Formats: sequence, C-alpha cells, structure tokens
Amino acid sequence: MGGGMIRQRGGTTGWLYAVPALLLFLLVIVIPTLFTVTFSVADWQRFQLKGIGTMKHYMRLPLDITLGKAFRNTFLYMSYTVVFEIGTGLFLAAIAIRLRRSLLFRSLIFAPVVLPSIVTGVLWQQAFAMEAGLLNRLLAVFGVESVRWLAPPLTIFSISLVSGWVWAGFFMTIFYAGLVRIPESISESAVLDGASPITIFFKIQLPLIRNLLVLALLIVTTGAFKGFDLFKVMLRRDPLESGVVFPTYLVRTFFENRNIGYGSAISVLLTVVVLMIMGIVAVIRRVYVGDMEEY
Amino acid sequence: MRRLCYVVAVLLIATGVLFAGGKQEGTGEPGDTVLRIASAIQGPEEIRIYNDLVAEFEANHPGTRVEWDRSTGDDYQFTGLPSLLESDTPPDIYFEWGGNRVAEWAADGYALDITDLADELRPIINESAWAGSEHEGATYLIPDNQDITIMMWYNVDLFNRYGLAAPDTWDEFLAVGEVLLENGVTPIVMGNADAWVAGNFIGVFLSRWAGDDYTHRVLSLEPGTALNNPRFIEALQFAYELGRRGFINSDVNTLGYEDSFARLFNESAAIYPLGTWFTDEVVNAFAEDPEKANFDYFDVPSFAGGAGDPDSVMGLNTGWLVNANTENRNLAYDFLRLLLSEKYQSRFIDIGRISTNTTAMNGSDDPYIRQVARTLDSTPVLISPPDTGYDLEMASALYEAIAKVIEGIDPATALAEAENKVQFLR
Repeated sequence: MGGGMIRQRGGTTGWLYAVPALLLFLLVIVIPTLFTVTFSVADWQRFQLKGIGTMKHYMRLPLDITLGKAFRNTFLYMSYTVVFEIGTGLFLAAIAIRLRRSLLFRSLIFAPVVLPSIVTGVLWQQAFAMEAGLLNRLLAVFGVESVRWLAPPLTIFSISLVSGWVWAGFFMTIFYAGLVRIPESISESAVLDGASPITIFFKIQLPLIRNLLVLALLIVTTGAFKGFDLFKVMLRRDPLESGVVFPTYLVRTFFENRNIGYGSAISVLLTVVVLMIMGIVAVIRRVYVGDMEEY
Repeated sequence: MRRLCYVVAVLLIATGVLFAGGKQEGTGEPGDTVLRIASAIQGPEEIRIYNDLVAEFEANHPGTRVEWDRSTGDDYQFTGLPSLLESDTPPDIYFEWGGNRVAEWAADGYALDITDLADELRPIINESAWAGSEHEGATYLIPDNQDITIMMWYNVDLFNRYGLAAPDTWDEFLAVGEVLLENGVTPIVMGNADAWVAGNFIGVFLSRWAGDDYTHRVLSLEPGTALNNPRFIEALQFAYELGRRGFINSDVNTLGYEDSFARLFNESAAIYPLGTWFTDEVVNAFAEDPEKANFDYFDVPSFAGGAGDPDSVMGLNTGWLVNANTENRNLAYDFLRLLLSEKYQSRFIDIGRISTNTTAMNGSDDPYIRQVARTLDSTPVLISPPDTGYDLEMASALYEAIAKVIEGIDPATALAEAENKVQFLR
C-alpha cells in the first residue's frame, strides 16, 4: 500500500519534471505541425488566407513532375551520402585507429565540419566551375575535357561528394570513439588465432560498433531530407532542376512562388516520408542491433 | 533574502530607466522617429548617392533617422521583402518592380494608395514610366528608374577585330555568331544560374514571334491558352538553334550572372544580353580605368515573319511603394519627393541609370542615356519580363523550359513540362 503511494507520487513528480520539455515540444513541434496541416487544406491568395477546407493541394501532389524529381534526387542524394559520409567515415576511422597518437590526422579530417556551409558551398562551387575550376584544371593536365560537375547527370553526385567531404570527418569521430572503446584483448586474441587486420576490422570491430552504424544511418537518411544549404549555394535557382530536392522545392514553392497552401502540403508529405524512414531505421536497429553490448 | 530583494530592486529600477529612455517621444532629439526603407542590394556608386540623400533628408527632418535594409540581397524579391513586411519592423518605403508585383502588394493590403503623391509628381515624371504602377485605378508605385531588360551588349574591340557590324536581323545575327565561333570566341555569354537572364532574353523571342497580345494572354494564364502552344514552340526553336550551334556558353545554366560579366571583357565571349543596369556593373568594375570598357549594344535581332512588333522592347519601371501600415506617411512622401528631385536624379543619370525625371534626363548630354530614353519613349510595345509582369509560378515554369531548351531539350517537350506545372493555376 505504502509502496503504491510512493509510485503514484513519483509518477506525478516525474511528469512535473517533464513539463518544460513537453511545453517546448508542444510549442516547436506539435503546434507548428498542426498549423502546417491546417495551411495545407486552406485556400490562399499569396499570404492572405481565403478559407479552409480544400484538398486541392493534395490532389496536385501526385501530378507534380518537379516533386517527382525532388523525390528521386533526395533518395539519390541519400544513397550517395551513405557511401560518401558513412563509408568514408568508417574508412577514415579504420586509419585513425591505427594512428591513435595522431591528433593532427583527426583534426584535419574533422576540420570541414566546422566550416560554415555557405563557405563550403562557395568554395566547392568555384572548384567545380567549368572554365577556371580547380577540378577541371586538374583534368586538363591529363588531357581530359572539362566536366560539367554541377549539371546533369552529375549534379547530385557532385553535391554528395561535397557533403561527404564535410561530414566524413564527423562520422569518423563517432566510429573512432566506438572503436577505441573495444578492449584490445579481443583483437589480440584474434591475432593469435591468425586473423588478418582486415578480418579483425570487418569480422570483429565493425559488428561491435553496429549500434553506431545504425545511428549514423539514421542521421544520414533523415539528414538527406534537410539538405538545403549546399544545394542553394552551389546551384542557386537551378533552372535545369537537376538538383532539385525536397527542401529546395519546398522553399521555392512556399517563398519564391508564394504558394503557401501547396508548400504546406509538400511539408506534410515530407514529414510523413521522414517519419516512415525513421520507422524503417528503427526496425533495422531492432533487428540488427538488438540487445548487443554496445561500444 | 535582503540581498535578493536588493538585487531585484536594482534590476527593476535599471529596467525602468532603460525603457523610459527608449520610449521618449517628441523631444526633437535625433533618432526619435525611424523611417525604414527596404531595397534590393545596390552598387557602391548608388549607395553613395543614397547616403547623401539620406543625410539631406535627416537634416531637413530633425528627430528622424533613416534605416535602410539592403541586407536581404539577391533574395529580396522572393523571401527578403515578404519577410520584412511581416516583421516587427516593416519598411515604410520599399523598392519594387512595376507590374504584377505592385498589383499583388496592393491587392494583399501591403501597399498604400499614393495617388495624391503620384498626381503631385506626375508633371516631373516621364509619362511612360507610370506603366505598371497602378491597381484598380489607384497608383501605388512612384517610379524613379526605367530599364530596358534585354539589350545585346557587345565587346566593340572583338567586333572590330573580326570586321563585324551590329546585326539587325536574325540571319545577320547568326552570321556574326559563326564568324565569332570560327575565331574561337563564344558568341553569347549568359550566367543563367538564377534563371532570369535567359528567361528575359528568350522571353523577347516569344513576344516577337508569337505576337505581343497573344504572348500576354498566354503568360496571363487566360483560360483556353497553354504554354506548349505551336507559336511558343516555334519561337523557342530559335533558342534551341542557338544552343545547338554552340552560340551560348556551355555552362550557361550553372554560371552566376555576375561571374559571366568578366567573360565579355576577357574576350572569351562577345555578346552579353542584359538590361540597362549593365552600365552599373561597368561603372563598378571599371571605376579606376573606364577606358578599358569598350562596349556598345544592339537590339535583339528581329525575326522575319514574326507576328509580334519587331521594334518591341522588353522593359520595366522600378520604383517605390509606401507600406499600407506605415505610421510615417508624410515622412515617406517627403523622402520620395527628395528622391525624385532633379538634384538626385541627375546624379543617378551620371552613373548610367535611366531616370524617370524628365528635367534631369533632358539635362543629360550622355548619348547612351539619351538613346535609351528615346527607345523607351518610342517603343510601340513594352514587353513585361515574365517574372515581374506575371504570376511567379508561371514565370518559374517558363524559365525552366527556356533553360532546358538552350541545353538541347526540344521545345515541345520542355514547354509541355512547363504547361504541366502551371495547369493548376489556370
């Protein structure tokens, strides 16, 4: 009886502790989401609300060619960044673990993360430039013709490359932190059993940090739906729509074309898609990671 | 506890003093009233003139301070201005492009009916400058500048070197382009990463080929019209031809317009389609050695057999709107009176701008300024650029189609895609 009282009081106190966080969640997530949903079923004349209760914006979604391109490009960007950010990050972590004392190596690789994305975008836009760009000048040394890095079919590939350049260092740091926590005795036993360094990495170390791999996957896949800054800076208005992704199309529709209703419908769709992807990653996590010991 | 009470009391007194100081009104001290102005980014020469104007205005209005927001930069047109108008410190006066945008701000309640000020200023402003200033019979825009949106600027030294003359007709234009290509010079350079440069240039083709009225009806999304109509498809064939022949720089759609400018003067390209504000760019780029910039312009060549007026010009008037919610209407009026005065407009003319002030324009002996003014006064048809004269989504879809056509996508396909995007608006 007494224990029940304690549990009850503890529960109330717990909820009271959660009130600030819940209020914040309500203010910055729930209410804006409800507003967006309301906007998406409203009639607008630019920024003037004319009435509520239309589904015309949702009827337009499946017929929108540009939205289709944005979908395709976003998923392409996601696939490339999984390789360029996680794959490269893992590779660099494998090197970093062998250069444990080299803080310089880790600092250099991590450096792009702290650069403002606008600076990164401008820098790489210049590097990708057709006439005087660094990459095309390098190609010219080998007699290769200039490449249109920021035009189809390379647009998404090039931007993903930049994204990888920036974020590989971040994921290297995460994986490195996991790898250094694995007791050396495990690797030493494997060496005694005749395992090569590559076998040790893929068969022992990698499985032991798979929780971090799933975390990285979650960050990269959901992050792909936030990709805006590099696209905006490097492609500007992107008249060929070769690099149109969800966020850039959303901003163009909402702000540039001043179509609040349709922009909101795209936002709702984007929210649903991101939630679905998070759900898929959560399932992967449950199946792949389970209750394993984490490093 | 006593210490806590003491701290709280000090904080309260300090806050009171702070707010009392900030709320003082009518003391006549500088900074009492703030007149907020918003505009797109301007060049250093322009800013110098505006700074003098602001200084004189503030001297004439003790207690008034002018705050000018140019921070929104290139995004002013799309995101900057709407955000400012919805902010806690909205502008009292804001820059706009004449045409559809003015009508939209008026219809949405963001622009003040300033017909009285317009009537007062009408005697000193060129009559043709008022096009695109009105909505439902009332005037909302005070135009201070006129622009031809597309002129074919060319490098005179290159043309002289290869014995070329400015072309009048499409066939002559193609012949000039071939000579330039043979000599390793890209005939036309455009920086179309923001879509409007090629959009404006090729937009002239639509009007010239498909007909001015017809083009206007299609771009206005009149029921029964479609962007992928046979006349537009034919008009864009000319653009397709330019791309196919290699007349346009291959990075046209990824190059910024400010980066493309240099190629005209480093002689890798010969022709640069841009508006009258090209001269602002030149003034800023060649401030130290203006003789180095040897340029001239010709009109967009005419097509034989086109349904539009061959002498039509794509142009627009720009000027200033007063916020419908301003509390400083009289100050805003005074500012615009000073801005439109001969004194300041003459200075804008000196840096190459086409002023709407007729006295200031008549006082200019610059042959270029006079020529442009004559063109604007005499044009039988002033074509509005799609992105300022019409619905933004429509302009966006059309510009994308144009960008694709010069990349080699056939006009029928590109326009069909554009039509697919705008069908919901009609």
